This record gives sequence, structure tokens and C-alpha cells, in this order.
Amino acid sequence: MTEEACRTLAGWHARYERKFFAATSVTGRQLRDPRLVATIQSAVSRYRLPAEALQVEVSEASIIDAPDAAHAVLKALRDGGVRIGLDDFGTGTRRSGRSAACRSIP
Amino acid sequence: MKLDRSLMADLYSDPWAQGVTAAVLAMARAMQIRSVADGVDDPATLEMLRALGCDEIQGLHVAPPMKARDFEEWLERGGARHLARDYDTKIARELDLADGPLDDIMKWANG
Repeated sequence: MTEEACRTLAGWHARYERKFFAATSVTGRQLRDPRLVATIQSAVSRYRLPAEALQVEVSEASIIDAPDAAHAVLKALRDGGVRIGLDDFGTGTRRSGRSAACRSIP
Repeated sequence: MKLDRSLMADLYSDPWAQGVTAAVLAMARAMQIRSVADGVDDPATLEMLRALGCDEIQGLHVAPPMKARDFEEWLERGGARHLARDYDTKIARELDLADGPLDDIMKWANG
């Protein structure tokens, strides 16, 4: 996924003046994968993109599930210049959206 | 910080969604994080978000999801030109967004 995003972006950077960035989602399980940071960084450098051309998005729920793994991965990516996105913010739940806990308070 | 699309579903009429959206946007501003609202499907929701101080939007009101090749064509035809400020300000006037029950929450959200 990251590989394909980087390939497409490299084409757009060559074709257009605007410096687009692409956002890719990272799941909670991927956050625990020790190879994740290297995989992302190698895709970015293979296509000679600036690190800020990629935004890695992590949901609020997956950070709550694995705060230590999330912190390590996001810090490593951020230090390398990759943008970080906090996805699905404001519901505080896992994809249940409107059934957020505080919604059920009478 | 991407605001969950479930908040946008009826942002225009749901005070709960307005409150959470305003609070998340206030937090993002305080932390100097750019805010993006996901699932903005109509001009009324866009105007609400403008009033609440959201930085960016995505959703059907901008464009439907599309493949990379279609995006190139869309961009070259003018992209999100239809979202130009004048157009939406007119809609905001018609909807009379700044008046009524939302007034207080927007004042609060904008400090």
C-alpha cells in the first residue's frame, strides 16, 4: 500500500507543480510490526520522495490499544520527517461511532 | 487530526456532534495540530466546519473517492474549484448559519 502510494506520488511530483502528499492508514496490528518503520522509510527513499510527502495515519483507538508501540513507531517516523495523522478522532470508540460511551449517559 | 466521519453525519442538527467537534477542534488548535474533517458530504456541513474553525475537509462535497488516474483528470478539469469561497458564503447566507442555537457554540469554539 505504502509502496503504491509512493510510486503514484513520485509520478505526480514529476507532473505537477504542487507537492502533493499521500496519506496511508496503519492498523493496530501493523503498529506492532517491528519492520514497519523500515518498510515505510525504504518505500519513501526508493522513489526519491521527501519524507513529508507521506502521511501515516493511525486511529485514536489503535493508539489507546497499544500506546507504547504507537509512540515508538510514530516518533521514529516523525523524526524522519514523515507526517503523522490521528485518524477517526472524537468518537473514542472502535468504529461504533455514534454509540460512544458518553452518548449513552442519560 | 482527522475528525471522525460519524461526527459529520448530522453536524448541522445534532448538538452532541457539534459539541464534540468544537471541543476536538479547540484541542487541535491548542496543540497546533492541523485539523481535517472526514465525511463532509454537503455545503451545510462545510459551512458549519468553517464557522467552527476546521482547517481542511474531505468528503463527497469535495469529490467522491477516485482512482489515481481519475484524480489526474479531475485535477486538470479544475479540481475543487467549486468550493471557492464566494460560492459557499452565498450558501451560508441562505442557511443563515451564524444565527440561532449554533451561535453560542461557535463563539465559544472561536474563542
